[in-house]
Amino acid sequence: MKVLYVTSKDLDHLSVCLWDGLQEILGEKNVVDASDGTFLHADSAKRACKEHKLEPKGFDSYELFRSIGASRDSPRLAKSKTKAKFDLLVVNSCFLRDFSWDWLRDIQQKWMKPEGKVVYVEGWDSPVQWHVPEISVDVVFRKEIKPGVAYPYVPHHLTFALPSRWFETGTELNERPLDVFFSGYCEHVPWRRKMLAAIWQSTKANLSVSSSFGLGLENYFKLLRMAKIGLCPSAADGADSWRTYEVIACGAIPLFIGYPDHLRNDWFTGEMCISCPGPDQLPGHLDEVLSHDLQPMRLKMWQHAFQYHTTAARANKLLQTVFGKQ
Amino acid sequence: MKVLFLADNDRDMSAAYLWRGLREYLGDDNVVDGVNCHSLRGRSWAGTEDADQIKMTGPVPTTGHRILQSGEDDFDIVLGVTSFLRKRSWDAFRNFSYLRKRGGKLVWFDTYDSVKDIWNPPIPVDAVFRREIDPAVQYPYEHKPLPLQCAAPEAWFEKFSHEKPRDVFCVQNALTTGRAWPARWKVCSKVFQTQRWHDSLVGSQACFSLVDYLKQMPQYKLCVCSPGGGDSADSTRTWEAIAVGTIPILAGHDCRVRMYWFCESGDPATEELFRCAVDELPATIDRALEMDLRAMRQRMKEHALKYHTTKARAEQFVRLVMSDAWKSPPPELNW
Repeated sequence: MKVLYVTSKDLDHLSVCLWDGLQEILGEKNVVDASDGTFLHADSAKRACKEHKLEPKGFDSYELFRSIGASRDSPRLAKSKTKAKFDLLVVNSCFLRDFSWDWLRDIQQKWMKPEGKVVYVEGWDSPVQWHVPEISVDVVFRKEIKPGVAYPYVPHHLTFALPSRWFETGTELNERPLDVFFSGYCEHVPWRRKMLAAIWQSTKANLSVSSSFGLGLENYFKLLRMAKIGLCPSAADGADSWRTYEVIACGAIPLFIGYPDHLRNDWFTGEMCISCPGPDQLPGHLDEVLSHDLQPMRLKMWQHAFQYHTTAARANKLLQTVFGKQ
Repeated sequence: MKVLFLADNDRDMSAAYLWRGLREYLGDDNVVDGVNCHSLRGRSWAGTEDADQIKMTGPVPTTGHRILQSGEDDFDIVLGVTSFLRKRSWDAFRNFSYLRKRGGKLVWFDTYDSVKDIWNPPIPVDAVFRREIDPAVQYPYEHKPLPLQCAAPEAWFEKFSHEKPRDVFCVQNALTTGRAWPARWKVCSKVFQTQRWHDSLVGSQACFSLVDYLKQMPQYKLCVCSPGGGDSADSTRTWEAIAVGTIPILAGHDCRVRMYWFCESGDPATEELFRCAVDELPATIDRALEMDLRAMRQRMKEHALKYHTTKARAEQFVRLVMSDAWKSPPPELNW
C-alpha cells in the first residue's frame, strides 16, 4: 500500500505522530510527503532545529518532534521519480496554512488511483473548529470531539501518540524518588498558575518539582523519569496535550487536570490515570493518591499505552477504519 | 598564632566554615585538628571526593590537614565546637584546654541549629560564640555569647554572575522532619502566588544531584532561603546563593543577632538582601522582580567579600577572642 501524505510545511504535532506510525507500519518508502513538511525529513528538521535552538520561553518542542517525524528518510513527492499512483491520501487539515483546496485537488487528480481512499484529519485543539473538506473524503478523524456538537461529517477520534521506540522496556517498575513533576510555561493561563501552587498545598508533604518554564529536554526527561506522577493540564480549549505522551513515555502516571468530557477512544481508565477537575481539587487528589502504592497503576498504564497509544497503533487504527482490516 | 580545633568525625557545618577560614587566615600549619576528624578533611562532605565539587560545596580543604602532634602544648587558642561532645565529654575538653600556652584562650562555639540548643561549658572559658542567638532567650553563659555565622569561601565567588535568565530558585528539602517543616513546605506554594509571572523552579532538593543543584542556582535572580532543618536562620544555601549572585530571600525566620549583617532596609537604594514572613513571600517576590537587582547584587557581593568570606570570618573570630570582646563587645555586637 502506498500513502500520499499532506500536511503543513511547519510543525504540526498530530501529523508528525501519524506520519511516524504510517512509516513504521508500511515502511518509509511507501509513505510519501506531498507538502515538503519540514519535520518529516532529517535534513530540513535539522536545519529548523538549528534556527530555533533555544526558544526564549517554554519547552523546546522542535528537537522532540524532529526525533519523531524525521527519524527515517522518507521521500518527498517533488523529488520522487515514481510514476506509481497511491492507494490512500491522508490530508491533515493544517495543510491549509500553506496550501489550498485547489492545490489538493490537483494532487489528488494527478497522483491518486481512481479507487484510492481519502482520509481527512482535523487536528485542531478546539472541538468546534473545523474546515469542511472541499473534496470527497472517505473518513474524517478529529483530535477533539465534543459530545453534542453537530459536526458537518461523522468524525472518528484520533489524537497524539508516542513512538513505540520511546518505551524503555525493563524500566516499568523502577523506583521513583519523585512524587509529582510539572514543568511548563503557563503565563497566560491563570488556572495553570494556580496549579503550580496547588502542588504544594496538599496536607502531606511530598517530594516534587514544579517549574514555570521549560527546564530543557535533558532535565525535563530526567526528572519525568524519576516521577511517579506527571501533571497533564489540558491544552488550549480543553484539548488533549502532547505532554500526556511525554509523561507516559517516561513511565509516570498522568494526572489529568481540567480535561473536558471529550470523546477519546481507548482512553486511560481510573485504574491507570488520575483525573482532577481543576487546581482547587489538586491538593486533595495528591493526598489521596500518594497514600497508595502506585506501582500497579503505573504498570497498567504502561501496558495500556503500549497497546493503544503508540504512533503505530494510531496508524493501524486509521487503516482499519478506512479499509476495515489490519 | 596557633589554634587547636576540637570537632567531630560527623560533619558540623559551622565548624567546617570556621576551620577553613582559620587555615586561610593563619596558614595550614597553625590550625591543628585535635581529634583527627574525617569531617575536616573534605572526604565525607557531600559523599564525594570529586575535587571540583568539594571546592564548590564543601568548605573544607582536602589537603594540608594537620593533626595534633604529641607534646604540642603551645596553642594561642583552644577552640571546641558543640559537635565535639557527640562522642566526647566535657572532661575531654578540659584535658585539651591544658594545651594552651600561658595567656592562651579557651573558646567554646555553640553551633547547633536551635536558638535554645545550649551547651554551657562547665569550666571557665574566655569566650562563647553561637551561630543562632535570640535576644529573647536567657543564655546561661557567664557573659552574652557573640554571634558567629557561616560564611562563603572566596572560591565560591568564581561562580558569581550577573547573567540571570531565570527568576526564583526555591529548591530545598521540604520533607525535613525538623521544626522548620511548616515554613519550608509553605514557601513552596507561596512562590507561585505572586501577582506577576516569573520563570521559577520549586522543588525538593533530593530530586537534584548536588552538581545539578549548583548548576541551576546561579541562573536565578532570587533564592528562597527558608529556615534550616532545626529552625536555624543561618544556612549553607544562603551563603551559596550570595556567592553566586542569587539574592537570598530569607523567608519564614527571624534574622537573629548577626555580625556585620547585610542591609535589609527595604530601601531599594541601599538594601542588599530580602527578608520576609512566609505569607509575605509573594509580595516580596513581586517587589524584588521590579527592582534593579543588578545594582543590589553588586552591593551584596561587595559587602560579602568584605565581611563574609570564610577568611574574613576567621579574622573577626580571632580579633574578638584576642581582644576579650566577650567581656566588652564592640557596640555593633552588643545585642
